[in-house]
Amino acid sequence: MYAAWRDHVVQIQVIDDAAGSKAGTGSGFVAGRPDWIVSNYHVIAELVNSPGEYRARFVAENGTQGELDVIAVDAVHDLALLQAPVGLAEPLPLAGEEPLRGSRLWSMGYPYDIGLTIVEGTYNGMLEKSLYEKLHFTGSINPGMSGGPAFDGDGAVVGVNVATAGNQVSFLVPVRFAGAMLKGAESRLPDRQDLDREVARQLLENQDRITEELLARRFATTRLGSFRVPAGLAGWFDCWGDSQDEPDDELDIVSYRCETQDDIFLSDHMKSGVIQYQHDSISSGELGSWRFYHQLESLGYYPLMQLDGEEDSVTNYRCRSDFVDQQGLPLKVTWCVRRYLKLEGLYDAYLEATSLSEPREALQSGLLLAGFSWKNLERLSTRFLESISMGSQDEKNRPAAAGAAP
Amino acid sequence: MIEPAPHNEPVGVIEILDRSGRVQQRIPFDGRAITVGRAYDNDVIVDDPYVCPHHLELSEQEGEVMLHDLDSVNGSYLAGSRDRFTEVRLRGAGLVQFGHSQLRVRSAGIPVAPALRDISRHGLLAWFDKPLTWLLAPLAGLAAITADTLQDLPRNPGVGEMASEMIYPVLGIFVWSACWALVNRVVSHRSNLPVHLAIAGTGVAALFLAGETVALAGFAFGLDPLVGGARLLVQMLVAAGTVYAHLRYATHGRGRLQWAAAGVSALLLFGIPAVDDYLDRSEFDTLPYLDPLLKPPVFRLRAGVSPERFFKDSETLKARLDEQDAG
Repeated sequence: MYAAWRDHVVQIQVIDDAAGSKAGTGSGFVAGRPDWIVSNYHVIAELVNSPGEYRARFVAENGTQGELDVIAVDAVHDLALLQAPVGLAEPLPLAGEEPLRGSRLWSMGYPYDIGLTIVEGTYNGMLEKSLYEKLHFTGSINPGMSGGPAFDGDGAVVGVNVATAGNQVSFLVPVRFAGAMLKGAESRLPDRQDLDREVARQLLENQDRITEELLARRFATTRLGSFRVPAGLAGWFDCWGDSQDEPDDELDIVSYRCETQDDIFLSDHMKSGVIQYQHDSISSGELGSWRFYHQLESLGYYPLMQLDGEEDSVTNYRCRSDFVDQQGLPLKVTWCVRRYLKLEGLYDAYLEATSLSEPREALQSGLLLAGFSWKNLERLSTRFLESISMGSQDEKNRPAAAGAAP
Repeated sequence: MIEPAPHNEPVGVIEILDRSGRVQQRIPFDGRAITVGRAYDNDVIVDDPYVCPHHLELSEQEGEVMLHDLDSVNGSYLAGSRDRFTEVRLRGAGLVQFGHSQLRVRSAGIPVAPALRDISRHGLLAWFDKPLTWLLAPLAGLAAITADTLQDLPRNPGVGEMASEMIYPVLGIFVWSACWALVNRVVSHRSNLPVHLAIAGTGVAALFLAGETVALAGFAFGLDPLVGGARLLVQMLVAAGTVYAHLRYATHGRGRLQWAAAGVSALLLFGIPAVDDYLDRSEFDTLPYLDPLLKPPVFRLRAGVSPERFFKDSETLKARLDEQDAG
C-alpha cells in the first residue's frame, strides 16, 4: 500500500520569505488533476493572511520539489487546493461513500518533518456534536500529517487528515468536501488575488447557515438559581455545569457553560465560527446588597470568555452599556464588538448581562460570538437576551431540568 | 543758647541670619560702634559656637557701615569671597559670613509685606485647628478606609484580616501627614501634626465619598461613559483641595501660588495614572475593556429598553468600528 500511494503524497512546506526557510510543514495529495494538490487550509493559511511574505512548495518522496500556488480554499472545512508547475502523479480516486463503521483506514503524511509515514487505524463514524462533519479516525495523526489522505481498503481517499485530540483520537475531513472544492475549481478560473475575499464570503455564508439553524426554533432554556437561561441550543453544543462554594468566599456561584465544539482556523491566533455562553447564578446569604453588587462589579471586569486575536486582523473592542428590560427582568447589558480588518463584513462580539432584580442574588450571563455579520450578531444576541427570564416560583422549588424548551 | 544734644539717626537694622538664611535677630543700628560676638558683654550676642567671644565690630563712617574683624579664629568674609578681611566697608545689603552665621545691614525704611492672615483663626481652614476636628477627621478617614476595604472583600472578615487589609492605607495616611508635619516644622518651627492628620483624614473621606457618589449617580441614570471622566475630575478637585489645605498650614506662601502648587500635585497624583491608563487602552488588546457599574437595584432610576431596542441603539458602535482604518 505504501508503495502504491507514496508518489501521490507530498510534503508541503510554507517558506518565510524574509527568513528564507520553512516556517511550517504539512502534507498533501494529488487529486482532480496531476498538478493539483489537496491539503488543509490551516497548512497554507499564512499565504492568504500575509500574501507576499510567505510562499509554499512541495517536496515529493522521489525528491521532486517545486513552488505551489493556492488556487482554491474551503476555509470552513479546512481545505485548500494548490497547483504545482508540473504534473506529479495520477490523481487519487475519491471514495463515493462514507466508509463502514469499524472498517480499516490508512492515513499518510509527514509527521514532525521526519519523512513519509503510513498509519493504520479504524473508522469510528461521524463525529457527533460537530458543527462541521468530521470522520472519527482511531489512529495516530501527528503534527505535520495535516492535509494528507486517509484511504479505505480499496485505495480510495475517504478523508483528509485534519486534527487530533491525542491518544489515537483523530479527525478527518470527509472527502466529498474536497470533491466539491475540486469541482468548483474546475468550473471557474481561480482569482488568486482575492483569496481573502473568498474566505470572507465562505465565512459569511457559513455563519448565515448557523444563524438560520439556531433561530429556526425557540432557544431551549434551563433553570439556574431563580432564573431561566438559554441551554444547549443545538446538538453541536457541549454544555457543562459547575458550582463554586469557596469556604472563604461568601459568594455562591453556580455556572452553566455551553460552547461549540468546532471552530474555523484563520491563523494561529484567530478562530472564527465560535459560539460560547456562560451563565453564573450568584448569590450571597452574608453580604449586604451594596457589597454584593460591588462584588459583581469586580467580577465583571474580566469577561467570562475571551478570544485571541492579532493587531493586523481585528480592531480593539468597542463597548456600549444600557439598562435592558427583559419582560419585567431588569438587566444591565454591556455589548462589545470588534471588526475583522481583512475579512470584510465579519465581527466578534461579547455580550454580558447582569440582572438587577434581587438584593442578594443575580444572574451574570455572557455570550461570545466569533465571526458573524453585524445583522446576525444582533439577531442572535437579541434572541439570547429574550430567552433570559425570571423562573416561576414553582420552578424554584423543583430540581433543575436542563434543556426543557418553553 | 543751648544746643540740642546730638541725635543719632538710625543708620539701619543689623540682621543676624543662620546658615540657611533665616533671620535670628534684628538690632537697630544708630552708627555708634558696636561689637558682635558670643560673649555676654557684646552689643549683639550671637549664639553660634564657631563665632569668637568678640568677633566683629561695626561702626559708621561718613554714612557707610565699617566692619572690623577682631582677630577672630574662623575669620570674617564677604559673601562670595574666600579672603578673610580685617576691615571692610559694607555696601548695600551685602552679606557678611562669620562662624556659621551671617550678618547684613538693612535700611530701616525697607517696606514689609502686610501681615499674613492666620488661617487657624480665619476662614474655612480654621476648622482643622480645633481639637474636635483632630479627633473626628482622622476617624472619618478611617471609616472611609474601612468601608472601602469591606466592600472589596467577598466575605465578612475577622478583626485580624481587617487589620492586615487596612494597615497599609492607614500607615499611608500617617506617613503623608508626617511628611507635611515635617515641612511645617522646617518652615514654621511647629509640626502641626494633628492638623495635618485632620486634613489627610478629611481628604481620604472626601475622595471615597466623591468617587462613590459619582459612580452611584452614573449608575442611577445609566450614564456609564461619563463616570470615568467625572470621577477623575472630582478626585482631582478633592486632591487639590487637600494639598492646598496642607500647604496653607505648612508654608507661608501666598494663596494663589499655593493653589497652583496644589493643582499641579493633583494632576501628578491622578492625571498621570489616568493618562497612562488611557494610553494602555489605546494599545491593541484582545480583551474588551469592561468597566461595569453595578449597584443594588434600588438605586436604578432609569427604565430599561427592550433587547431589540438595545441592539438598534448599538448601531453607533458599528459606525465607529467601520470607520477604523484597516491595519
